[in-house]
Amino acid sequence: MTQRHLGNHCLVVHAHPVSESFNTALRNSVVEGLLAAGNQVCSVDLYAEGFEPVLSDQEWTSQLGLPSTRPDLTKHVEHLRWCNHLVLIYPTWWSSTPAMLKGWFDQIWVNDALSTHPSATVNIPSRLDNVERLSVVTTHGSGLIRNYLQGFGGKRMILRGLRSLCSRQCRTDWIAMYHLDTSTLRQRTRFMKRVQSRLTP
Amino acid sequence: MSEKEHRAYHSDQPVVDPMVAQQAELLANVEILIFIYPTWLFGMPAIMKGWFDRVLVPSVAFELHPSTGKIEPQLRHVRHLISITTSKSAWWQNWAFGNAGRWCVGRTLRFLVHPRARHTWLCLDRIDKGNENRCRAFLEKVERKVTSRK
Repeated sequence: MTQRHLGNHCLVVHAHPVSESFNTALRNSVVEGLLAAGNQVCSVDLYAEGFEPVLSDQEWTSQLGLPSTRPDLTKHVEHLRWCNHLVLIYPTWWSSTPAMLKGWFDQIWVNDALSTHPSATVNIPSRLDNVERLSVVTTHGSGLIRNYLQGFGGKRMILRGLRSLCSRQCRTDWIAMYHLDTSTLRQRTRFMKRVQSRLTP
Repeated sequence: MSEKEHRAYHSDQPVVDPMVAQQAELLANVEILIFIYPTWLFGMPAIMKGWFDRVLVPSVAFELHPSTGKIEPQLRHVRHLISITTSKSAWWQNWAFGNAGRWCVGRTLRFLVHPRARHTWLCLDRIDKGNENRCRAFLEKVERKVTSRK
């Protein structure tokens, strides 16, 4: 975790299994860019820290009633409550987020992060009012047309679903690269610059 | 998907885990594929998404053409996809907030199965407000929809 005073509180959540991947390079460049712009940055690499995405039977039962007691999750919840700019960096697999990131949503974006008095009868729990900007940086192996036909499930889930749990004024960014599998170095470099300029204008 | 699996993804042997191999074997000759899960945070649970990420890899669900990189579907024997799910939100909330699970099966996986395959979407919304009668009615609906296609 790297921090610097002044500026926004940025939480960068990254999920890619390979450390020398383009996705990880994107994460590094985003973190550097945000730090250079004078923000406070907290970077979470779900694969590197061995996050457990699967919700166990016991946790699910406790989720309905009391806040989770798992200490490793408390840290994530604190990060989520601390930030006002959330940046998600992941590869799009099966038109959605990797299971690892979905597991982070399933376990962190629940009762104890969203409300102090959870109630199973509340449909949409209270908001994460601190999150004022939600940015997604993602890479697709396939093209834009195919993804359009596939319905952009991940985009909908985050920019509509999770957005509805953030501040009412929450701004969103969708910065996506298509045809990563057949891309050239020049295209990737250009995309990296585009990400930097969008996130740190 | 682990690092090892990701590295093997584009190799000749994308399946490295025996558990995944077993799942892939099950998938080899099915006609009806049914997904049953609760909708959490506007999509399928991580464990179900993990099944997509890990089992539906090249050589199991599709082949990538070596030179053009075009996707060649391998699940043409699947003629019916069924999603059965429960959700805390109302139907209009699911609709407005994206319903990622529905798109994942109904559109994305749909590309790889039989061209005339159907996708049946069965969702019990407002599950926590559901009384016994509503749940029973949903169960009957599921039974009817699933058996009527055989």
